[in-house]
Amino acid sequence: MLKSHVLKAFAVAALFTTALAGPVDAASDKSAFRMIVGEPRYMDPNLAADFAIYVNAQLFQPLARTDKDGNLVLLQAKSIELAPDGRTWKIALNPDYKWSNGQPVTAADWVYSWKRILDPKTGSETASFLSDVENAMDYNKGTLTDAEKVGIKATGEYTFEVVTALPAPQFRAKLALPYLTPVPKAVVEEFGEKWVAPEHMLSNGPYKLVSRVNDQSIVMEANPHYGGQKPAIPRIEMTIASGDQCTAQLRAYEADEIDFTTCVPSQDIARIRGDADLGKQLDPFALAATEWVQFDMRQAPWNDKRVRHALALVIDRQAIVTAVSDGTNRIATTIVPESIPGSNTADALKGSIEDAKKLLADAGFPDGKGLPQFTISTTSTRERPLIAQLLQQMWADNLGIQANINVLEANAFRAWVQTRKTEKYDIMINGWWSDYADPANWFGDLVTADPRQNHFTNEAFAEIVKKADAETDPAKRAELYRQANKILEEEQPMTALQNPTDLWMVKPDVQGLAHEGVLNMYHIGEAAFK
Amino acid sequence: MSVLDLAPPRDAGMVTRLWRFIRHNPALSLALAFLLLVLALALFSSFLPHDAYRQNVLVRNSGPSLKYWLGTDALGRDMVARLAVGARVSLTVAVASTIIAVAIGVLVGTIAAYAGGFIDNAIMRFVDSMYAFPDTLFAILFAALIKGQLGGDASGWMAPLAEAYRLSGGLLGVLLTLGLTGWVTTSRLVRAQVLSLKHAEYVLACRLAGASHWFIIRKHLLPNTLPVILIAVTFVVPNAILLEAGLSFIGVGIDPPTPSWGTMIASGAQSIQSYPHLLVFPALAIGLTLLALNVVGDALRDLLDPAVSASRGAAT
Repeated sequence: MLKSHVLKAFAVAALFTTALAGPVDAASDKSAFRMIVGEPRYMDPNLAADFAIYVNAQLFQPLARTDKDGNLVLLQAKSIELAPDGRTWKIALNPDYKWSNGQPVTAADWVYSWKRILDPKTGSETASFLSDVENAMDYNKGTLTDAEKVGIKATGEYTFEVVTALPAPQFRAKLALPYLTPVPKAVVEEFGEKWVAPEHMLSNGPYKLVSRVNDQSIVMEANPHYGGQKPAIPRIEMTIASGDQCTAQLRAYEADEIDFTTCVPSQDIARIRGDADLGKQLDPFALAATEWVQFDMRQAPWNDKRVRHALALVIDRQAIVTAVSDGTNRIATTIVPESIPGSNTADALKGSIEDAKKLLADAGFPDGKGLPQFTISTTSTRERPLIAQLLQQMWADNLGIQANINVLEANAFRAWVQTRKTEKYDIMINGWWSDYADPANWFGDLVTADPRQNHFTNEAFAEIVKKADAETDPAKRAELYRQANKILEEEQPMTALQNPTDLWMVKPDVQGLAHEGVLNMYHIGEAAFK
Repeated sequence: MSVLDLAPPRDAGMVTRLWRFIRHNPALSLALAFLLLVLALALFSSFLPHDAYRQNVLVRNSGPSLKYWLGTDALGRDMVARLAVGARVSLTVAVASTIIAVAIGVLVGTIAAYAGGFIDNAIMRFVDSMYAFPDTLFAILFAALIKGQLGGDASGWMAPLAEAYRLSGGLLGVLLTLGLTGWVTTSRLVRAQVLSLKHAEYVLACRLAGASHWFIIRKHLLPNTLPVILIAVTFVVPNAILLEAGLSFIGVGIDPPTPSWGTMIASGAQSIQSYPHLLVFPALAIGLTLLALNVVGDALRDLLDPAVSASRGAAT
């Protein structure tokens, strides 16, 4: 009796093993590229604004990408030309690129997609990338209902035009953004929100979606109709992990369950770097991004420049970079990263701890006396609580001032920052990652538009940025932004701490997986197994 | 059953009995010794060689050594000192929240049992509904609410509370949460005890003699629920320590840089692969403390429960 049960169990186990053997074998002879990603909030490229763009980038392709020197490398576009008026971008599509069912990708698809991004009914967070376009924001806010008046229109089957409201040189970089891709008009109109289901979705990039199980997996296979170089890796298997992506990725990577990680948890960096094998698989990429500590510029004592300078001068950035990244992040002395035109580390605030003490005394707080106890608010992720504790001690040791720390869960922190538009705060730790390598993304989208609720207002700064935004001569433009940079650093509404570095790890048998653009995109279609 | 059995138990010779009990119970002795050590560390943490808050990034994440007995954390702070201060936080939370919880529990349980009828029914159905909630979930909800209300910018009558919350580094929120969620079991135990005492003959006699309700509760009911309360304490305290750790682990508890065992475990869990000592020591501290408390609780139950004492007496 028992024996027969045991036999049955063995038989079942054997069945399972053979059933499982399929994918396992497939992985061992490396026909699939395995990785771990977070659950994308949206698979719809018109809506994806978070890390889902990295998943989407394997499926959907923009017109072009920007190379290291800021030049456009054409992908889906055959040509991109700016008319002499400085406002009209004439785009010709490359008809070789087709949807994954073999249908051509037409200008109508592109125009439909971009207007869909702007449509207030879509509610896309990526609409801001098209803010330069004539009437785009009025349409997006709902004050203009006629979509025909938006400056995006098809001029032929494979040509379309985009007209900006003002001459906008930074729009060239935006044309290469991974957020701005086409969607298949006919399919979206037929299936509505369900068009992203694997059985309906069409993509124009190197891969097509084969299956997606919510919170479990995403599988892609090569798009047979892709117009560019056919991918050498025929299949991508993404496993969805919840929670801390870095930890999940590293554990799976070390267990040889995945081929690629996009980050290494702070606590493991030293061990990985010290490991003879794993250390070689590290692939760092310096991001055009900055993390900083910012002051509520509307509140006393933070509206006093001397207080801000005092607090900034006593920060030991090396200690921060060492503690949170084992020294792999870089020290940031200016808010706008060095690689962005207009920024210059020569503009950075300079002074000693003695200067800082004197400044604080001049502001009415000798030895920190009289400065009310304040709160440093931060998100719980990205090692920011560590940064907060380091700052707390640096300020206590050098200036004798006391701070509390308020750690909020990531989503709660995001919501909290939004409410700071009207509510007051003391100090918060925040950051900005370049979307496109242009000063407008920093001086305009970050400082002027103020999504981080810094409340910095300065007439001279605003004047210069306005002038720079419309300047078409790159050299003059960079010079104007440089002036803005000087004001920004002198005023010190935020104090730069570090420029983050992405730490990829790639298995030795994968080659050609390159870092692309300021967003550090990866393109598995361009990689291969050795 | 003789009439004498109905009289309240006397506690004559309690100290000698207790001492003998401890000596004959090695597990209990060990547990008590460990708890005393934790208590001593918590009380005298400032006499330890290192400061729990002093950062030194040059020696961060170092393993146990002669200088740092249990190693250092991600900011180079001494783990022994942090565990000691963490013990202070954990014990403060445990004791204070237990006082709140037991006070509420005793009050609610006594009122329900003594009043009886509709009031008893209403109160106990409410208690049942509290029971239906998983306590961790309830505590998370509550802690998040408190943090949301007091952690931001409160105004009006909330302002001083918010200030206290801020100065306590979130400790106040955890205390309130645990106190206000932990009383349910106590109230049931006390109610059961009071129900059985309510009809005891000496209580009836007292009532016939014209004593007030408050007199009866104070003189006869509360003193006799003491053993039950003590037993309740032995499981409310470990539960509070565990819940505090859980709340801090998921980030609605104590704010940095104040160490608590829960926050230490939370950050240690992230570095399990590279620096296991950051997880192992706080986990051991909390595990051993809970074990010790359970051993003490068990022993206390043996000692106080007349049934167990009687059988023990018969056996020896």
